Order: sequence, then C-alpha cells, then structure tokens
Amino acid sequence: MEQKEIMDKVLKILGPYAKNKDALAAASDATNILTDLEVNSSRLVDIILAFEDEFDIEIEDGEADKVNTVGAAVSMIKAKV
Amino acid sequence: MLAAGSGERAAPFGRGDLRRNNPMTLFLRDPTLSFGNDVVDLREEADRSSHFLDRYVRRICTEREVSLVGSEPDMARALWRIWALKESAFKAVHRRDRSRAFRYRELEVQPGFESVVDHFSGSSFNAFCRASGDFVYGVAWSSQNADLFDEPFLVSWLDRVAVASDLSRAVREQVQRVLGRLEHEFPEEPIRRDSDEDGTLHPPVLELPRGRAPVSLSHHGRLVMTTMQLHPSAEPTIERGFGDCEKVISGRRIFILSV
Repeated sequence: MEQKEIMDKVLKILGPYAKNKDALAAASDATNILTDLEVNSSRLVDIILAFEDEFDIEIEDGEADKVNTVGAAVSMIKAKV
Repeated sequence: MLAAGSGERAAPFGRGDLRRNNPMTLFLRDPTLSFGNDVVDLREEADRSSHFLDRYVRRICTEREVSLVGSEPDMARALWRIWALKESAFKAVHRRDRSRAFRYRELEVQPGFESVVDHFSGSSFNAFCRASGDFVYGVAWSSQNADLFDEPFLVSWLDRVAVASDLSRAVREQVQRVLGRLEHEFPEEPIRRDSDEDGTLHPPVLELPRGRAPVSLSHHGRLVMTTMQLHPSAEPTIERGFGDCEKVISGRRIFILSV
C-alpha cells in the first residue's frame, strides 16, 4: 500500500476524534495526535483498534505507545501491511 | 519539611512571602511528591458498541482489572474509574520520569480503587476515585519518602463549562479563578509547560511570583479539573474562597465541585 493511501486512511480514522479540525485539515507527519489534533487520550485506544481493523494488522502495546504523531502512525502501519 | 536526600527543608511559599506581615503560606514545594488527576465525562464515552467496548477493555485492562470490571454492578463506570486512575497515576509517573510511555497494563488499579500498582517500577500510588452523576474523577499520588511526610494535602476543583469548544482555555480560566479566590497573586498566564527539543511536553507547573508549584490539569467533554498541593494552613483560605461550593473530602484530599 502506498504511503499516501495509508496517510489518507489514517486521517479519515482520526477525523471523528480530532477536536481541532483546522489542525486536521493541515495535518503533516509532524502533527501530534494528542496536542495538535486535540484527541482525548482515552480515544487513542479506539484509534489503535480502528487501525487494526482498517489495515488488518495487530499492534502491540509497545508499538501503540509510540504512535504520537500522524507520521509515526503511518510509518508503523506501512511496516506492517 | 525535609527535601528528598538533601537534608534541607522544602520551604512553603505563597502569599505570605509576598506580604511580609502575613506569614500565611499556600503552596508546598515537595520534591518527593508526585500526583496526577483525571476526569471523565461519561457522555463522551457512551458511543461504543458492546463488541468494541469489550476489545477496548481488554486493550487497557490487566486480567485482574477485567475481573474487577466484571464484578461491579455498573461495568461501564468501573471501567472509567479504572481509566481515570490509570491516567492519574501515569501523570504522577510522568512527573518523575518523562521517558516513560503510557502502557496501560503496566499500571494496575487494585480492587477498591484506592491504589494503583506500577508494575514497571514496582512502586505503588495511593488513589481516590469517585463516580458522580455523569462523570468520574480521580487523583493518584505517591511520595518517595512516605515515612517522612504527612499525608499530602491535595485540593482539586471540578467545574462544568457551558461550551466545550476550547477546554484548554477553560482550564486556564479555572486556574486563574482558583488562584484569585485563594487570594494569591499570579501572572496573566500562570500555567507553564516546558518542552524538550523533540517537542515532548513537560508536566504543567504554576509559574508564580515566588516560584513554581506543580499542578495537574484535566479536561474532558464539558468538565475541567485542577489539582494542587497546598500547605495545610491554607484550609481557612479555602473555606473563605469556596465555602459555598459542594465538597467531597477523603482524608486530606478535598474536591471542590461546581458541577
């Protein structure tokens, strides 16, 4: 799967949880999911589960806690698909 | 009060330092105390299907916590009490060790919701958690020199905001309101969060005229929460400033509710 396709799917998954829609629209690899997109920490778990479902992958706890930015999410998923 | 390992006394500071004729102190700077808080607006968490919620529980809970959730009459509330205490304990952990990541199952809430074991370090945190109406709130705290100190005097404020559009601002306004009612001088922006070069944020502190004091901040849905460690002698000031508010008191923890 191409990086852009993964990025688009990641942003679509993040969409409903991102309170800062402006930051979502301008998201880049460096965008922090919690502080820039203003996703509540409890929703990070939903997002990890949604990544597993969307990309048919398994994400271990030690991998999930490194998903701080959009770019980190894309890289982690790209390495698995 | 003895500072950890130094043999020095950790001086309280506050209004008394600013007005020499008034020895009253407000904040304590206890370098061995770590604390954190969390609030959960249950209305924000009610949208998961039962299947998805089951996966969610197994993602964040240890086997013992899964059993604890299953043994409680209101399983959803039990889950969010566990979450609030994990988050509170992690904030306390992060104040000491910013390299730690939040691995949910490393922090295990014990039956009774009065302590959290950190399986990574082998340490534990005292905890208090309460479900009330449509929200859950909690604090966790630990002192490295528990034998040397009295129980910490932690005061928390919970407010409900009318519009949940800018909760970071609501938290700032809550802190300003609290400091004002505590009759404490403060700068226009009293909350400070430093960051590492890679952008990792440090835990928040209050930047006050005579020094910094740790503070824990939380917001979710329409709820905002602030927790500070105060000097016990501040109790009359709290009563003056917040005498008209509902309070929940647990030992030396006071929760001032305007929700």
